[in-house]
Amino acid sequence: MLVKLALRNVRRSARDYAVYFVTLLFGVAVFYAFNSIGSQAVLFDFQSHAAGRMLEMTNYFLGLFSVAVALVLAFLVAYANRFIIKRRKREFGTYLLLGMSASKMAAVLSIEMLAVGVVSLAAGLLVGLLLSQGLAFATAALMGATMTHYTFVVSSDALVKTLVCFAVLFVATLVMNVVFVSRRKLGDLLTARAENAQMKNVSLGVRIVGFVLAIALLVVSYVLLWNNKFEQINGPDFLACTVLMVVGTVLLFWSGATIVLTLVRRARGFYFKGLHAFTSRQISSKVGTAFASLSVVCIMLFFALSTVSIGFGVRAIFVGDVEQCTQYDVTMMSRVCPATDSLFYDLPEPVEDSYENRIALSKEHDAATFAAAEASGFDMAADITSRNPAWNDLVKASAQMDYYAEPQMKWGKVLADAGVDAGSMESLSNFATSHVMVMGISQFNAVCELTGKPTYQLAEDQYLVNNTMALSEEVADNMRSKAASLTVAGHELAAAPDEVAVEMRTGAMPDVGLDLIVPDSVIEAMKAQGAVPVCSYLDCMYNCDRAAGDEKLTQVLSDAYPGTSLDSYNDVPVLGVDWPYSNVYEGSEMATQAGGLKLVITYLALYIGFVLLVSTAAILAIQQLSETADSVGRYQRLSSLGCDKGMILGSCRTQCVLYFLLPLVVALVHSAYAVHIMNLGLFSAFGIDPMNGIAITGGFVLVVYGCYMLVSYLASRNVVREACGF
Amino acid sequence: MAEKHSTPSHATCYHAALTVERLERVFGGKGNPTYALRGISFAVADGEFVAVMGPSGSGKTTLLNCIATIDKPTSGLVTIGNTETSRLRGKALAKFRREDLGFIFQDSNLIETLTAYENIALALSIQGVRASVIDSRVQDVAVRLGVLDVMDKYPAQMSGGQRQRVAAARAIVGKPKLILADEPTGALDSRNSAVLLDTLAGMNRDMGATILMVTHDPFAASHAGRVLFVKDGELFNELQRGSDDNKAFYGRIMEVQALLGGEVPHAR
Repeated sequence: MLVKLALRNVRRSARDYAVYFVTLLFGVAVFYAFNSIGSQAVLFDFQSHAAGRMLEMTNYFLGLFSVAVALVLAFLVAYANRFIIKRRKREFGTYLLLGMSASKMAAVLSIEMLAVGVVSLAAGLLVGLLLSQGLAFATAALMGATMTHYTFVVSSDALVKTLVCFAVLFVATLVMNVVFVSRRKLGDLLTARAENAQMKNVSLGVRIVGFVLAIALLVVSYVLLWNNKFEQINGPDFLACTVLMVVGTVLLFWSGATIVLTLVRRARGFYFKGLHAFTSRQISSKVGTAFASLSVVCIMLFFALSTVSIGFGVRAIFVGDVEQCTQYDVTMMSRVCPATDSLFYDLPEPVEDSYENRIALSKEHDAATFAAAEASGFDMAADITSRNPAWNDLVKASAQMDYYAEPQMKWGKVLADAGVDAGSMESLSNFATSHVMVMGISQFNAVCELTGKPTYQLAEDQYLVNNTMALSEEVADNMRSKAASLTVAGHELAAAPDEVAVEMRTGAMPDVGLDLIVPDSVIEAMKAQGAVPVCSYLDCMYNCDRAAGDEKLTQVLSDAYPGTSLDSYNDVPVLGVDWPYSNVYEGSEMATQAGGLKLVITYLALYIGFVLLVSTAAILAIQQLSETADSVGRYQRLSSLGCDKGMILGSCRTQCVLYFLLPLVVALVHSAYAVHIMNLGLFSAFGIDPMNGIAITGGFVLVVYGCYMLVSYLASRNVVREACGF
Repeated sequence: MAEKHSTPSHATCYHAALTVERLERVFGGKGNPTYALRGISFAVADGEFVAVMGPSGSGKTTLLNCIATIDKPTSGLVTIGNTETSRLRGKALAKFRREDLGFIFQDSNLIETLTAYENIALALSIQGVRASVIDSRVQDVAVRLGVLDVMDKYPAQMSGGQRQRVAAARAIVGKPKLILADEPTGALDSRNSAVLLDTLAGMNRDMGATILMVTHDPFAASHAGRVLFVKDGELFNELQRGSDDNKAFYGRIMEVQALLGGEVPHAR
């Protein structure tokens, strides 16, 4: 009997349950889909462990954020639930009046919630399963991996996690409802009427003060952010900025409705036209009473918008142009004899940087390795070939570049002497004290020839500035345009005007920052003074494709140097001194890594953005629906006064659209400003166009937010139509 | 506003603001029909104040709803001005309601988010009257109906009597052909009832409003110029005020009421 009653109730209040149901469905689907990323690994025939680990890492991060997502969803479910309970107070009162015991009523309610919960959970999981298959293809595209054997993947981990999470959520809401219903007095329930959206009588003067204060707080927070530029997110300034923004936004909604209404009422020609007066009052009283939740919605929207647009910008920073960065099949790096103050040494006390000291320290660290390097004349390829001639079968062509650094030649001094502005590099703390690295023109041209790029000519008194990092582009340009002078090993050189931007090694992102290319004679002079390379790179092109080549390379190197292994990227020893290689950067591996990073950031941004957007849109939809339901009487009155369908539905539409747009507009202004600041600082330094992220965010908002707006308008319209008999 | 009353559009001296002809309204299916109205016919002249009385279940509310275009009669004709209302649909019906009809309900039916002024102005603004004209017309009606001092108040801040008078102001401000009042004093105490009824009578007398009021209260009916008695969906009796004052008219109404009530047990 109770079950029958409960199921009938669900059917009858289907419309009230609709938003609850849809939101739960969305929540479950997205929660499952993003938590199931880890189990997609079986779909891919990953060529390296890196790709698998990237997937694992993505899964780990998504799992972490799922806690926050679960909390947001919990809030949302509780909110939607409260809406349903409030709307049905009278019904519960009638049950009590008819002599139903509170416990039986709680049972009916529990069965109802259970029915809706189970159905939405099942439907949500179904959608989630489909969504996760879609995500698998997205993963493939983002990581540049090929799906070798597609199967329908069901992640038991994600399934259990989703079930447990939402089961807890249901039980919590259930308990809340039962407590609510059984504690209420009959009178409260029976006399419960939709609370009138009557604003608290606060005088206009106080509201004006609030409005001015809101604007002032927002301006101060904007100024603080301008000064901070997201550089010190942990500092008190940033905290103050955030707090001011939140308080300012709340005050803005609290006072804005009255202020705008006062202004609109002054415009009599507009106000007393058709239903304008009615519509303005409706919106103003709704905003005035729901200012708290509108502020929450606005701030959540702000986070959603900023997360997605900044997320995509950050992704571009980290990932950059993968194609450009992985031109060479493999790059090997060796640091036999770094500068004494480089990070690779952990010296108990500083040692003066000189060619002699570098060599002495290097020998001290590993004499045999230094001897081997010296014996092969610091030629990496020659060393490998001498140990394993198979190298020549694997490698079609290779080019080595050696970086040299004069001990006392640091960037700060060099730029100051040449009268060049350090520009954006000034903010980097260790730039001024880092060594200026130079390399010979013939080695540089050999690298260019490796990928068929044009070579460069250099006069004896000139040097080239090679730069691919957006951060240092400004300095590079300044040096070129000013023909900045430089003295290396007694040779006086001037910067050539050529804008050189050659990516010289395989890596995860463009990292050629101010490499100076000097005439070979300069290098010879440095060598004569006792210089050895502080760092060497060997770019190689395989005879075969990258997959086969990477495999062969592992074999060749482990045969040549028993005891070392390239099986896993991390197993390569990264030592201060190693010869002939300390790090190996395989092109395909780097591409995968970049893809993995892309994956993490993309999915995180989408996950958080999506959940926040759905949450805000759902809250607004619920509020809009309950507002319409509360106003049904007013619409009926308007209809009896002779307002036609078009006028009434038009007013309904305006209310719905404005109610959705108000928090969106404020959030858009906030996030446009935040993204703009981000753009001034970080993004422009890395040459990132933020439009990409903004476009994606815009599309996102349009789809999710637009959908909810449309659905809640259509639902409101149905309520009004039914009430007015249109 | 009296000009409207004194210059009828037709040359005849009796011009009907409302004619109801053989109006029937049947509820329920074919097997078990319930007759709310059984072919009732009457007319209300331009500038008349007519009360419709009857016990509950007599069909007087159904009659009002049919005239108000809220309900559709099963058969018969309702003509207001020159418009036969059953032909109206959708936009034309809404336009007819806002331009030719005024409503006063028992619960005032004001919109609680709007001030009294805005409630009255709404009737004009939805007619498309220009904002500059609206102000003078609202002020004028407010003065005549004695609600000027509550213009800036919300319905919740007014007394029941004030609310009903504002509703009356809203009903007349659009210069409708016919004002329909459904138990307008139903929720008022006797003092406020008297004030409202005087207001309605004044609207009829001084502003030329044609009013059809449905009531079960003989005191309310005694303010009208003519009283129609409805019983079991039919016209039962009709009283003209003639030269009677309210009190005398009230006495005659009570007599008919007794007759009407006395017959009830007999009819069973």
